[in-house]
Amino acid sequence: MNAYVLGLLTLNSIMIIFALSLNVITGYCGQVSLGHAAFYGIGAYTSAMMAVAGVPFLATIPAAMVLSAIFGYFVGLTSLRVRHDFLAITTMACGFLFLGVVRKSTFLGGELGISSVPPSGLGSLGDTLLAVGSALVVIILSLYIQKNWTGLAFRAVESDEDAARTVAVNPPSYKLLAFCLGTALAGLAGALYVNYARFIVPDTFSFGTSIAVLAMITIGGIGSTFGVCAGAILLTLFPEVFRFLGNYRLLTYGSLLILVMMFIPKGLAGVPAILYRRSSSP
Amino acid sequence: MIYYADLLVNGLALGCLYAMASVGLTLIYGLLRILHIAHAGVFTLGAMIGISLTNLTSSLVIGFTGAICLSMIAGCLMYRIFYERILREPPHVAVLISIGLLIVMEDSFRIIFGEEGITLHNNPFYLKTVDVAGIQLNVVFLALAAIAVITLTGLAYFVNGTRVGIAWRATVSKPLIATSFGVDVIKVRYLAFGIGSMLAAIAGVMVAVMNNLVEPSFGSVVSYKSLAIIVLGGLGNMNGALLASLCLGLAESFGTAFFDSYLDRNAIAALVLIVVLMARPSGFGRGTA
Amino acid sequence: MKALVPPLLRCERLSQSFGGIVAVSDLSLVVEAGELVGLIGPNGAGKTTTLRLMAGIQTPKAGQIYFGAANVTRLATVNRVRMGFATTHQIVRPLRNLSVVENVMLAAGSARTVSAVRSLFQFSKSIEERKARDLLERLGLSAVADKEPGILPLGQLKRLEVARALALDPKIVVLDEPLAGLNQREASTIADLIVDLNRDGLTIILIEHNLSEVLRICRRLLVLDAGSIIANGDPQTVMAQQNVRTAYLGDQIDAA
Repeated sequence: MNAYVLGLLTLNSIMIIFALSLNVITGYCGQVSLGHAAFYGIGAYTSAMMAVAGVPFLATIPAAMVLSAIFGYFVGLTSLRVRHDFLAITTMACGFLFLGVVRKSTFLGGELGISSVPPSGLGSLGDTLLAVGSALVVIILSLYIQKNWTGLAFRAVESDEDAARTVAVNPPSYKLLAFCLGTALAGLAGALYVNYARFIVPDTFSFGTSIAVLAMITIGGIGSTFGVCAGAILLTLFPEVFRFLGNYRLLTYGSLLILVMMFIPKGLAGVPAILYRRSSSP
Repeated sequence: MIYYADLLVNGLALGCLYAMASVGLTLIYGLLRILHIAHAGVFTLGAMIGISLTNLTSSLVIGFTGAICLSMIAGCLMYRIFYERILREPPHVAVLISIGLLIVMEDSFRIIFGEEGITLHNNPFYLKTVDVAGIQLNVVFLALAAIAVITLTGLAYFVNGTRVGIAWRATVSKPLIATSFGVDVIKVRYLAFGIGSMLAAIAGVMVAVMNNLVEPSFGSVVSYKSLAIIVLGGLGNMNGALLASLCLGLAESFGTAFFDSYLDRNAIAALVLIVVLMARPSGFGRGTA
Repeated sequence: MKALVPPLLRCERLSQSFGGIVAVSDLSLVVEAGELVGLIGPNGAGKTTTLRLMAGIQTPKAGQIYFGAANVTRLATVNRVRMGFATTHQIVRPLRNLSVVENVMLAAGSARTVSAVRSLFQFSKSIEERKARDLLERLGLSAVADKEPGILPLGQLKRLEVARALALDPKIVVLDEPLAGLNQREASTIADLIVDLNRDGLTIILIEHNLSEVLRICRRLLVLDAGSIIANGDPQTVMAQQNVRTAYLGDQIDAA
């Protein structure tokens, strides 16, 4: 197993976790978040700062998750307060706020970010196994939530909040749960990313990243665990696969986004349904 | 004292710029609940066309006219080709299409006009300032503010004082009800895209003239703040949007002067947005349903 | 000494107004366990507002509401539901992303979804599914149990509303115009169902415009007009009352 393949496996696992984390918030519970990169970033910065200070990597993971979840809780509170139309923009604002603070903060490394993060001590194979293992755990967790009572309640909240109340589902507490879970998992992805890249800069957590992760889940099929995994892998491998496009990569990315959303808005997970309908109509 | 006056004027002018760039966005959001992020691309498109045409014909007037016409067409086409078919889909679909459009537009500008952008060959207005009561004011910035005030006042009169305008405003706030009153909602949509794009193009050309430069990521200055203005202004509420634009302009002007070491421009706008929303979850608008 | 059992539902001098328009004025009513009470009145009398106050969707400007001995005037809807108070809605609101049986299962599983965090540990749905399917069978909806509500006709959606309310195991159900929009045969069927449910021990308040069915099945009538109760008694007596006829017919009828 050469380093390139291990690296690719690690990065894909991290992106799968990141995408599934947004899927809990947006896919299961219907809360559109355009600032999810901030929680990825909070997890990453927490892990990086602690690692640089000498804390062993594995110990930074729970800290990263908890800190992300705390901030996620507060952003979740805003989701309760503002009209649902405004949630997308409010979360986007939270993303920019995070970015703005981090860019200007010398404590957090400013524009240059944090570099020279010490290795975890697990070795490169160990790091990859950790990432892949974590991804598998998150996938199982994701499937579990989809099938259990939380998932059903989430779907009710997403469908119609007032109607959900009449079946004794309290929307605010479920929205908060979705945010806490989703952001904690994003924090996990962030911590793993730091270990993979060994340095982070503010730009890693820009609005573009928030959009990329949203694209992953929508292209893959919002709500569907396996669809989201497929979307994550697709968009992670995209720069590699389309390397030959060189100067026209961004153009292709944008065009792809438009075309996919226009013609298969339910994402890849919705394709079987489209094909089924086509084949069964006269 | 002069310093504060300077910040004040700067802030108000900035607010006018944001207003021009954002009114369209507010209208579109109110009507269709679409976050038309690609509007920033129209802003840049206007600037690019305006500057190119002016360079070609040496006439700023032709540049302006061309920018306005082509931007209006572009805006309406965006609605017709991209948005109209996905109106029934969940909101994230429109957002991603719009972002995709913006990415395509910006990268196209980069490929066509180059990474560095284009400048005006002969710019008599560049860096020209005028002295008003001790404050140095950029001539173009002033002109922009003046044009903004004129067009926005005109628009305000239109939507508050004329029958067509009132119907339009009502449709933007409550599209479903308006249909049952016989209002042609489709026409209203095109009007929103058309006028919004026109205003954005005007603002774009003026900023390009002022800075003597327009480059591919030109729109990013305005884009995210425009979105904040939709929210702050209250759903589709034009008057609220104007007020919000001015407030945001002022906040940014004073904010960057005092807090520059802690937060960048976008973050200040973001903070204002979050704080205002916490206090008034419906924004400045009169809490329309 | 006989202990007095408080009535299941008691509204005491409720008042509600919206920007100057009085919707409900000094309204008091009592419903005992086991009753099948009709709440009728002309359009604009305040029936829907009264329902909303009882359900907790709105808070009254004045007055109190009691479930049994508990004062629920300011209690949130979700909590009133947990106390055993269920309502159906005039404008049906099924959860469109869920199938019919899932809609009812959620209601049946209200104990599992009480706490968001604890719901994470609740996985098994077999009990609630069984209960939901039984209810759907009783309401004649078995054929569409696994379909999504979006395609169903109004009659079936109304029955889904009832199924959802019943799945909550309520002590008292308020049905808001369950017969509206149904043809005579459908309305009669549902009315019979309501009688059956009441016979099984469910306390029901029926808000309805369909007077022929209401008069047929309700044992007591409350008549609402201009925000207040103007009559309270058995159907025969109430409908003969002068003020009731005036309220409905709108002009003075000679007493003689």
